[in-house]
Amino acid sequence: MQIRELHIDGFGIFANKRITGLTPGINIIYGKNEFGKTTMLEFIRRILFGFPTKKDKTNLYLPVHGGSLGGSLKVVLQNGEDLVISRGAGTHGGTVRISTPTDVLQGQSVLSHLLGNASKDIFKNVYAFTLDELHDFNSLNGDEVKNRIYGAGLGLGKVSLKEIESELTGHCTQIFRPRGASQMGELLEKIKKNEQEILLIQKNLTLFDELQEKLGRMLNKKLTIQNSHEELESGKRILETQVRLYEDTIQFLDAQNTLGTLEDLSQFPENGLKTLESLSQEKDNLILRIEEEQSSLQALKNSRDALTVNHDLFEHEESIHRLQQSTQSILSALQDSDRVQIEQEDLGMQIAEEIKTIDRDWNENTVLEFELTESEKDQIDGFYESFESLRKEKDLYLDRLESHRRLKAEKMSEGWNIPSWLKSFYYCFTATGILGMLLGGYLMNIPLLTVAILLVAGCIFLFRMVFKNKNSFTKEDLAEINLARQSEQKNKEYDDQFEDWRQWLKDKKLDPHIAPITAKNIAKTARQIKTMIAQRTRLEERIQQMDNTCREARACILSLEPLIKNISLKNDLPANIEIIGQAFAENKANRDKNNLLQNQYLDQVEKISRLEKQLEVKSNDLAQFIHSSGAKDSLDFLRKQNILEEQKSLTEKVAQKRGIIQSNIGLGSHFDKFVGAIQTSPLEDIKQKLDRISAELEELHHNREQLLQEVGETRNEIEKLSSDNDLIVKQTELESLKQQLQTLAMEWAAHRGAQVLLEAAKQKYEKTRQPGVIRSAENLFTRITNGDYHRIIKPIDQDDLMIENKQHERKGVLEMSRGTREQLYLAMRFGLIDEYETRSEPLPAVMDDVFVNFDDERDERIIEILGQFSQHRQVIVLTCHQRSLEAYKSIGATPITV
Amino acid sequence: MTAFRFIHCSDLHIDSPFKGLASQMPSLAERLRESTFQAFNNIVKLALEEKVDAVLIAGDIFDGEDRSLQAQLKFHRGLLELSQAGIPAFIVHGNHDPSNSWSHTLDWPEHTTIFPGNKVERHPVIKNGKTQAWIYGISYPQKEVNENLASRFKKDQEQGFAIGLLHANVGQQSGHDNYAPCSVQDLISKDFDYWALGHVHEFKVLRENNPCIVYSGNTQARHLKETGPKGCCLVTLNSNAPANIRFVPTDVVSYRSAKVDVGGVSSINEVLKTVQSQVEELAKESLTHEGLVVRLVLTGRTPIHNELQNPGASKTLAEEINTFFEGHSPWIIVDLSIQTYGTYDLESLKEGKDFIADLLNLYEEDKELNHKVRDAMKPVFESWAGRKYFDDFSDEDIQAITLKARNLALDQLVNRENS
Repeated sequence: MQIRELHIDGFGIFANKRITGLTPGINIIYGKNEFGKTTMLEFIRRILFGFPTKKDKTNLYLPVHGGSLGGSLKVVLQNGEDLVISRGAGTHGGTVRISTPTDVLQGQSVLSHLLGNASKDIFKNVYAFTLDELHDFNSLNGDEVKNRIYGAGLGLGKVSLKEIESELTGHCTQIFRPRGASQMGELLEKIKKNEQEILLIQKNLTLFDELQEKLGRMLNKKLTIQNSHEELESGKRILETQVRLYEDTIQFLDAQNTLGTLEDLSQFPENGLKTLESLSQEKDNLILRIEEEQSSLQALKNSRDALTVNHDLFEHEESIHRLQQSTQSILSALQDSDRVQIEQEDLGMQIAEEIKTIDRDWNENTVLEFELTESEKDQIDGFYESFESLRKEKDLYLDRLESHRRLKAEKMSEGWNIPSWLKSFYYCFTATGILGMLLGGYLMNIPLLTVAILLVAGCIFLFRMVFKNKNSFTKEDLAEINLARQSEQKNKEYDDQFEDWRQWLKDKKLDPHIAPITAKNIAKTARQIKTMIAQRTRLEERIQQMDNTCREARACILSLEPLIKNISLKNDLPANIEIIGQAFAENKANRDKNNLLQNQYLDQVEKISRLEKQLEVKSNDLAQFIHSSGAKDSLDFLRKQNILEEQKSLTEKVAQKRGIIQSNIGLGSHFDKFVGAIQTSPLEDIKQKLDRISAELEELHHNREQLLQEVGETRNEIEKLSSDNDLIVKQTELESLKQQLQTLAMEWAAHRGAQVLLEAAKQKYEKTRQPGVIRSAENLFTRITNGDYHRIIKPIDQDDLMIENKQHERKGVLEMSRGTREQLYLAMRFGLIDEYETRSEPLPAVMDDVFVNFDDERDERIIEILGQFSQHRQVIVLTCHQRSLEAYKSIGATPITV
Repeated sequence: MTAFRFIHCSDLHIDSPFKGLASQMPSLAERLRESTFQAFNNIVKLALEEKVDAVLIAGDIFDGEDRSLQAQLKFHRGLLELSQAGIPAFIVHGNHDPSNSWSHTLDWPEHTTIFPGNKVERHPVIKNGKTQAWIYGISYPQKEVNENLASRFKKDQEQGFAIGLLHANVGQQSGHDNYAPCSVQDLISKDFDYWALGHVHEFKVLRENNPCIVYSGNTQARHLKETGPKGCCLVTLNSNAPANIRFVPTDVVSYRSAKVDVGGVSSINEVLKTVQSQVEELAKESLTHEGLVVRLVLTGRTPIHNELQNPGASKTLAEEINTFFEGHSPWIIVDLSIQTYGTYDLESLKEGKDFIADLLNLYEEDKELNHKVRDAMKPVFESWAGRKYFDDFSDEDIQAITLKARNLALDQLVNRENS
């Protein structure tokens, strides 16, 4: 790639700056001091590889004189293609555009491809450099540049040996590290863990054997226990049977023994006891009966003696009957006496009250004497009716008069009755007067005016007078007078009638002020009082009669008092009569009962004597029977009977107990042996033995249970061990891990081997071959130094360069003069460019006054060498030295002045 | 003397783990684990079917170091079946299961004879009241027996066949510990009819007749290196005819390893197809088995070498293949390792004058290189705590590692540039 034009939009001191006319070969751009050499160099670098950012902490060359940051380069590629590379500000180094005649492309990657993938470092350090950069060895010591110096000669192209080594080392470390984490280390840990687990599981075999042995021992023990258990169980069963049947066996033996000792009673009658009992029973029954009958007799006697009869009382039987018959009337006299008395008194008071209602001065005699005939009653009615009719008429006239007066008063309230003509008169004269006054005033006619005034005054006076005497305009009312006179007359008639009535009353010795109706009522009341007086008289007679009855009854009771208990005159009559009645009835009943009991008593005595005869016969029968049985007496008979019964019961018992024992034990010798054993061992001994065996059995049982449990557990453990597959699982896992480890180790070994091989190859290479870059640089350097130095040496493991002079003396960088060092570095760069361009797009070399430190001789040679170097490439030299401009011009450089 | 028919087997290694598989698939582990037991069951089944007169087991019934109770119980169950069928079993202990590693409380079934470790004993096999054969045998009392046990055998019965039951390394068989070492001649000299040997995991007839000297091999492979058929010998000894020795496979899982050349294959899909067809071929050969474990090594120069070198590439590939064969009968598990090369032209690279040429020439010319590589491996293989888990490296192994190292370096130098 060669640059043809620079167009700077804005970059540092440049704004809208164009530099054209750049050609292949050397171009010398000349300008005065500070014309912007370094800025221009930096512009080319940044257009090709991007703008830095603030973070890069470098001069950003922001436009000082306006214009936007950026610009473009017009370039020609090795294949002749024209391009314009322009870049403006933006992210990631700015926006880059590559314009071909036919297309516009974008992106650093496109540009990178066009630049033969040259890196920014290569361009900066090798192609475009300032004096300072030339001088700095470190600029040649970047990894990539260094590898190029080294790798170019190795024939590895872009491949970095260092990178390969580093990768191999990295891989090895990843697989294995003596210390710290690595794949093999992790695997080893897993393997160890696995082995530990396997060791644990392997103990299972020993454990299995131990458990098997243990199980065998336990099974033997179990067998022993089983035998003992059965033996004890059998012993226990025998003892239990002995205990269970002990009582029966003992009873069996006792019964058998007792039977042998009993008396022979073969002569004793069968069912003798029944007969004896029957006879004794009959005898006893008779005795009992006689005793009962005798006690009945005694009871009869007692009852008879207990009864008392008052024979005197029977003499008063008639008067008692009478008294009893009058009981009802006495009872009613006693009950009614008070009531009738009160009734009689109330009636007296009522009579007195009633009399007072007629007149205070009247008494019972007055009432008995007062009498009204029917004609007198009619007279009273006549008075009454007359009064009624007169009163109605008087009220009628009075009402008419009142009505008339009310109408008249209503009419008066309507106004005064002033005649209309009078009103017209004074209204007319008043108007005439006013008219006369107006006319007189108008005509100034005093007389007329005066007359008119007088007229008016006269009219006003008249009006006042009329109004003042308005009542004078009423008429006399004749109807009212007539009505008043008629009413007066009726009042007088009424008063006359009233006077007659009073006179009538006086005649009848009645209060003259009473009304006819009252007079009629008095007559009625007097009749009622007379009835009441008659009733009172009847009551008084009844009281008298009751008193008589009671008196008689008392006299009768008094006469009976000594004969009958409980009679007291203090008691009321009916109670006494009741007591007397009862006493009499009781007395009578006692007399009857006494007679009856006497008859019964005699019957009973006879009955007892009959029974005593029967008893004698029965006693003889009994004595005869006892004698016939061979017994001395009944007690002896009973003793014999008891013996007989015992014999029978014992025989039954022996048979029953034998049955029970034989059903449990068996017959024959078993039975005899069993009975014999019971006979010789007390129950307590057997029970003790049984307890002992039971305890032993229980312990044995417990032991057996425990053993069985242990056997079960051991079997389970054995079963568990037997079914445990863990060992083989772990072993398989271990084998797999081992294999993985082996595989990794092989991989590691291969990588280590690769490292060893590379190292050996590097050493061989170093000994036998020189890198092409150094050889190329060496050639240039020899020419620059005019053969003073003929070799450049790059030790393979050192970041250093050495030069060797004709005398084969070597100098390190630090030992060289500044000029020699710069020449060496320049030669190295040319060598690198030579080497680089064998494979990549050539790039323009841009140098900023790099030759200032060269002496004249070497300067000339360098210009000459540069001339040759630029024959097939573009070199742009930036200078501010006129001398340099001329020198470059002399070798055909294209001068461009800025 | 009539015919005597018996089964001869050895090295059952019941319930011992399989070695050399990095896979941790539980299903696979379970299958492999069961296979040794199934193999023994197959022998029992065979004995019952063939109604043999005896079953002879020449040691290493299980791995004694494992002290696996399960193994012993499983074995016990098998013997019980034989016993119930009236078939006697004769057993000697081998170096892997010396007497002291067995449970001493397991009661062995009737008709089971376990030979002692202190002397050679003999036991007759009697059929219909007639002694058919005498079985002589001696067990390993401990793991390491360096004595020539064969020398202790002495035939002292003329009636019936004489059969020696021995766990030994006869004729210094390579790849096996040299326990109870003896020569073929030692055995011939004993005038036996049949030597039933154990120890070597391969079916080998050292002598076909007068006497027959036979390794039955193990009954089920347990290692990737143990390829080929595994089983037992069904032997018929005749008094008037040569012995008939028939090998009967008993293994349920077949182990096969193969190299698959993927040279010229340019995509992962093609690799998969190539591998699948190869596995299918192997599966056809293992139809009698329940399962097949295939160890495949991808070799050859391939443009996708770099892709195959990516971390996890072989695992992913193996998973793909295993998924493909899921449900296959026999079941198939593929273990894959990659030993491919890049497509670079080694010869022309060697001709260059650059670093790569130097490296390639160095690999071929530097006689010290293997030594240097071994030295560089010391931190892991000599000083590291985990070193005991590695197999010993032979010179061949080191050469393989160096070759892989060279390929790795080349991958980096050449392929990186190309990429």
